[in-house]
This record gives sequence, structure tokens and C-alpha cells, in this order.
Amino acid sequence: MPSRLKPVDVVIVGFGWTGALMARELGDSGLKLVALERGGDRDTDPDFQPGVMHDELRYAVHHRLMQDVSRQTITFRNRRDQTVLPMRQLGSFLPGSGVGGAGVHWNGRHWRFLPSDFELRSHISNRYGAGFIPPDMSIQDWGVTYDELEPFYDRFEYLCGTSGQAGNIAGRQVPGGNPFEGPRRRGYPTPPLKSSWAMVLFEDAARRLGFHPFPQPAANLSRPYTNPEGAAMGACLYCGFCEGFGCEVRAKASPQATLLPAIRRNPNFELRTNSMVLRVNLDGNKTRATGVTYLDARGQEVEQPADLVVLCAFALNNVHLLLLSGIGKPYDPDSGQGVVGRNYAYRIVSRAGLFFDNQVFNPFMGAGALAMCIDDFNGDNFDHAKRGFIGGGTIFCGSTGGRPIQYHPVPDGTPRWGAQWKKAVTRYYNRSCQVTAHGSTMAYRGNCLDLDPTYRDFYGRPLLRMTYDHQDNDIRMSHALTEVCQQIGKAMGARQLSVELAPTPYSIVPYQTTHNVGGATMGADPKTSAVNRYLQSWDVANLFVMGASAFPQNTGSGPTGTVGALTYWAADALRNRYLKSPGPLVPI
Amino acid sequence: MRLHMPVFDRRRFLQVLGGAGAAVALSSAAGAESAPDTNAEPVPAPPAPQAGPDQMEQQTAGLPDAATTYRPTDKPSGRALVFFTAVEAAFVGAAIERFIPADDGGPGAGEAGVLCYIDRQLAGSFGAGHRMYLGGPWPDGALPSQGYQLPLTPADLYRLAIAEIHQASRQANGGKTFAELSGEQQEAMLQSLDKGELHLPSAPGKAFLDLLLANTVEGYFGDPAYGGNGDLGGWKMIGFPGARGNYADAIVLYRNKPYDELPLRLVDLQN
Repeated sequence: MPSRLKPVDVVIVGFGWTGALMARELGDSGLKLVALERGGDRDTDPDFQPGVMHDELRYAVHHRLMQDVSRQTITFRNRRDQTVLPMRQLGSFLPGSGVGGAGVHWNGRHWRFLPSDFELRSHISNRYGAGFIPPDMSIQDWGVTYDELEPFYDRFEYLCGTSGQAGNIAGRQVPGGNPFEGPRRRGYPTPPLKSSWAMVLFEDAARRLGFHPFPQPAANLSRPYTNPEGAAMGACLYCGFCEGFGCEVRAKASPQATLLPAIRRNPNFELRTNSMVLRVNLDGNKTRATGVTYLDARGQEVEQPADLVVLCAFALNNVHLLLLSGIGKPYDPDSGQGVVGRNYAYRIVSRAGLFFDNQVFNPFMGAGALAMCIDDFNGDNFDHAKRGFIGGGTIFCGSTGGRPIQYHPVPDGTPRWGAQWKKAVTRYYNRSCQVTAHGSTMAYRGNCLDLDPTYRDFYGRPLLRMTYDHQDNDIRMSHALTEVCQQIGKAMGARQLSVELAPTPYSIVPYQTTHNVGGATMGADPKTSAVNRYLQSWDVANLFVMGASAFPQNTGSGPTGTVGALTYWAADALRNRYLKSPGPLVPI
Repeated sequence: MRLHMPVFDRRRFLQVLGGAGAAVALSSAAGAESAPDTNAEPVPAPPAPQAGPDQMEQQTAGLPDAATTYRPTDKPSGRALVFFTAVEAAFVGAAIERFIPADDGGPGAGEAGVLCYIDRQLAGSFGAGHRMYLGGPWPDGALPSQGYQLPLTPADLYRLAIAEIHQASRQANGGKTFAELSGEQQEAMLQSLDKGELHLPSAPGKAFLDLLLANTVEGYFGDPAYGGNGDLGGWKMIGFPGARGNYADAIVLYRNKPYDELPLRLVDLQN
């Protein structure tokens, strides 16, 4: 029998970005809050100090900040007629674990989605006709608009101290920023980062080609900043140990750097680490959550009753918990019925590798989000009618830190090893840069998540089963963007170019990105969404599900800005409406 | 904290604790946390003269053909092996030197201590498959997109594959081991593993080759705390300043100019 603890008002499952934001937003309500985090505690000092962190092998190769797949993994296949097998090592994506979650190791690419992204099906139908959307593409509107989220985007940017150049302040175009962005109420809290030499070349080439380059919005701070929570953050050192690492000077926004000091001051808040939530418990009618059951550090089952449960795990793990707990109707791709596991989407990444004779890039100098970008081919910023596909992406040239185990680019035709390989690595380590396209993937009827019938995790639970492949629409989009990457690369003066396309069929082996989205999507219709526009479960009104699991499909921009904004948006509805009158915030 | 313990003193110390067995246990414990191994001087000290025979004896005792096949490629550091047998060390020492040969540009993998790096990795948590999902079943027909699908830890894979490559080499080359082949013959054998043309009785040759190559690059370019990258040769070769990590001014000052500060190691940042 699990031990049963005293009830609390709110239990938060997972303590990364969304868990920390929710803990802070509900913190002054007088409620008793408990956050359960599967991993351990860690903080900037001593855990992220350079004598620990500047270790490529430990963190980038051995993934010491990431989910331990010996405990929890997925099974995977490209199509439903294939034998499904477990993901035995991390590869394509890297969910974080421990206090701060992926908010510790993320790059800091801090985007807003485009206004049309939130109304994708309506927008595409209106502009190109409903017939433009392929029949198996299950894209949909979010149920929330850019204008509604704008104040919350703003709050999250000012929490993070994000560096950038505004392109559109209240409808007024601002030179040097992203001319395609939705209107923002004010500029970024801190000015853009310094440009690396590769970015200087990219900016010049993109401008000559008629594109609109701007510095990527970066939650890597260009100067010291004190945020509205009173947290003092440092200026970026361009140390090159950022993506996949924790920041030593609080220059990369993380829950630790922005929120934890304020959260820890709340006597009504308790953080329990090494606490692995196994399921959400429901009442007899399965309409109300009664709390959660978790394993403590010694492997003992503990039941934590609560009036309100907020799932704040990684997107895939939120969906896993919903399926394991019997919350919401599981999606069935044959009938198209059901919602949990529906519309899982990813991202499609490609790049041009540029090799120069006479340019020196010092690739080890950098920051996770240090890049020059164009948004000319993102979303619906360009005419898709002649292209015949939906979607797009950001194209950028960045300097994220060329650590040599994983970064030693060589031109096509170089042998895999030996004297020639060694010469090429030596010659090109400092004479290369890349132009990368991060493209959207749409949602499709066959790309989905459910429970695996065979394989179990360390805790004895069925693994989450992922069925996913890149689809023709997205592959064609990616090819078009890759051509632009090459075009810019040539204009930058590269002597030689190599092209790296996304693996097709999609493979879980090479790292691509951790922008896994969907599976518990938000929307206006309970038949096609698991949560309503406030991220509240349609089926269990005292359960809210944060994070990118709510995205109905992916966009061409990084997800974290929107994850933060949606959490503030949901917390606002919780505080101002739900707590006053608990129940469905949207009538069914 | 940095341990300043000369090589020969350390060996004596281990002998007091119970000889080579203690060395294995210590290294495994260090590997379990992936902590920098404090036994390793980041820049290897030259071996104490009296250490040589001890080391050879330890590595070759009780192994039938070790005396003819083992060439101590890890000589500069004079460090004991804690995972590999002499036969295994001979194969790995020869193969990694094919991958990264010594030339004017920089050290070879052997000189850089990559054998020691891989040996310690395999003795520790990496070798044991820590953080891998190793539950069955193991049906046939895995797709490349599904990644690694063998019930073998990295240590298992090395052990199995090297034994079978050893046999394959002796059968095909009149009893010669891989390490005894000419450079051209070694290269041909590695190429046939890479292309999936050399069929071993049970080991997946291509998967093994990929792992060995990846581990070689790790040892060559990783922090010297892990036993490789001796004298920071890998970093100096390409101009990587190591764990240094403060370029707030340099990122502008050194635009299109080589940055020529010497690399720093983790241990330099821990003092």
C-alpha cells in the first residue's frame, strides 16, 4: 500500500520551465503547493561552474543533464506496419531531467510564433482554399490568438531578460528587427548580442540577396539585467558551452537564474526531488483528479492527494502520463477518433556546410542562441501557392560553440578516418560555418503516440510508442529552404558547400532537435483536442497540462517562448477564474 | 582538488591496496560518475623508468600470445590497462592509429593516450551500458532509423567483436593478428568492416567499427582528465582553446583572425 500524505491544494508534476512558472504564478495565492521532480536538485553555483560544465564528453556526449533512457524511454517506428522497437540510447532529441528541466540545457532561442501560426487551418484555407490542405494533414487552429498571448509573450521575455532587436512595435516597423513578427508592445529587455564573424558574413550576404536579416532573439543576455522577480542575471561570456550545458553566470535564462530565488521564498511551496510520478489518480467517475502517485528516492510508492494537478513534464511525458492515467480518449489513427496521442509533430532540420580558404571563424566562441536569421521563408511569410506546400522555417547562421568531439566539419569526399581526414579536420575546423534551416512539420493522421503493448519502463509501466515519419509536404518544404541556405552560403563566398538534409525516413539516431510537440493538443473542440484554450483537460476539469504537448502542429520557430507564454496565459486563467469558481473554463 | 602524485608512487600505493584489482575498482568508481579521473595527470608525466617492466608484466601475465601481439602504444603515459586484455589492447592500439595516425600536424591516437581513454571508458559506466535501455525482446529486422538494437553493452560489443576480428585476421593472414598486419592490410580490414563486407560469426562488425571510431575521436578531442588528448595535442592541432570559455571581447577582436591562446583544461578551472 502506498503511504498517503496530507492533501495539498496544488501538485505540480515536473519542475522545468512550466513547473517553475506555475509555482511562481500560483505562489501568492496562499495555496499549499508541492512540485514533484523526477531528477535531482542543482543550481548555478556550484553545479554549472566552468570547472564542472566545460566538459564536452560529460554533457554533450554522455548527456548527463538529460533523461536517463534506462529508466524511461519510448518505442519507435516510422509506420504502423513496421515492428516497433525501443529507443535504446538518446539521439534525435534530448529531454532534460532534474530541477530546471530542459530550461537548464536549452540554447536560449527565444521566439514568438507568427500570428498566422495560431490560426493555421483557417489562415491557409482563407488564403489558398481548403483544398490546398492535403486530406491526411490534420492541422488545426490553436483556440488562442497571437493578440491574446502577446501580453504573456512580453512577460516571459522580460522574465528572461532576452536580447534582441524588435521589428514591429505596436504595428510600427523598426529597422534591423524581424519585419515579419507580430506586433509587440515594446522592444526586448536587452539589446542584441555581439555578432560573430560568420554572422557578419551572413548578414551582409542575406541583405545583398534581398532578404531581411536580424539577430536571433536570445535568452543569452547581452548585458547584466535584473528581472521583475528581482533575480540578477549576468552578461554572456560567449563561452561556447551553452547548448546542452548549464550557464555559469546566469546569462542564459533558466528557472534557476530567473525564478527559483523568488519561488523558494514562498513558505507554502515545497519541492520534492527524486520523485517520479507514476500516474494521476482519478475519482470513481474519472472526471476529477484526486492527486498523484509517485515513487520517492527510496522506491517507495507515495500518494499525494491534491485539489488541482498541473502536468509540467516534457511534452512526450505529459502524453505518457495522460495515457497511463486513463485521462481523455486515446487517439485511434484507424478511425481518426480520440485525442490523446493525436497530432504528434516534430521539426525538419537541414543545413549547408560552408568551407572557406581565407576566413577564420573561431567556432569555439559562441552562445546557444547566437545567430543571425532570416524569417523570409517562415510560416506564411512567402507565397505558398506556386510552391505547393504548407509551412516554412527560420534560416540562420549561428555560433553556438564548436566543441571538437562533435564539431569537426569536413568537406564532402573526405575519408571517414586516416591522414586525409586528419588534415581536413585541421584545415577546416576554423574555416567553416553553417547555414541551417529549422523547418516546421505539420500534423498528420498517421503520426501519433500511444502505449506500447510489449516494452515496459524501469517502473513497470508500458512505454510510450511513437509512430512518426516526415511527410512529403514537409520534405519538399525542407528542400526549398535548403536551397536558400546554399544560395546564401555561396553569397558568403564559400569555396565549397556540402548539403546535409534531414534523414528520410525520419531516424531517432542523429541529434536533430528537442522540439517534440503535440499529443495533448489545445483547441476549441473536444473532439480534436485534449485540452481547452486554457490548457485545461476537457475530461478532468481540475487537471491542466502545460507545455509543447499542447501545440496542434509545429511551426518554423523555436517553441520555448510560446511554452512560457502559454503557461502565463493558463496561470492567469487559473488565478483569476478557476480558483474563484473551480470547474470547466470553457463550456463543453 | 588536484592530486599531485607521481606515477610510481601511485603504483606503489595501489600495490599496497591489492595490486591491479584495486586499480580496476578505483577506475570503475570514477567512471560511474564520469568524473575526471584524478589518477590521470592531465599532461602525462614521463613514466618512471622502474615502472616499465611492472607494467608489461601486469599486462601480459597469463595471456598466451600477448608477448608477440602486444605493442604498448600507450607508452608515453605508462598507464595500466583496466579493461582490455593484451590481445584486445593490441588490436585497439593498432586500429586507432589507423584512424588518427601521427604526422607533422599532430599526435597519433596512440601517442595522445586514446587507448587509455577507451580502456577506462569501457571499465566504467559507459562500458556497462549505463543510461541505455537494454530490455528485450530483440526481434530481427530492426530498421536503421530505429538505432542500436543489440543486447550488448559497449563493453560486451568490444569484447565480442575484437575476439572475432582477431580470429578472422589469423585465419585470413596465416596466423597473423591484426596488429601484426601491414598498414595496408589493416586499412583493408577496417574498410571491409565499415562497408559491412567482413562477416563475423556473431558480432555486428559495422556497429563495432562505428563505436570504435566515435570513441577514438572522443579520446582524441576530450578533456585530458579522461586519459586521452595527451599534451592537449588534439586541441592544439586544430586551435581549440579547451575549457577556457570567456570570449566576451575576443568574439569581436578576433573576427577573421586566429585566436592563439593556449588551451586550458578542466583542472585548470578547478584550482
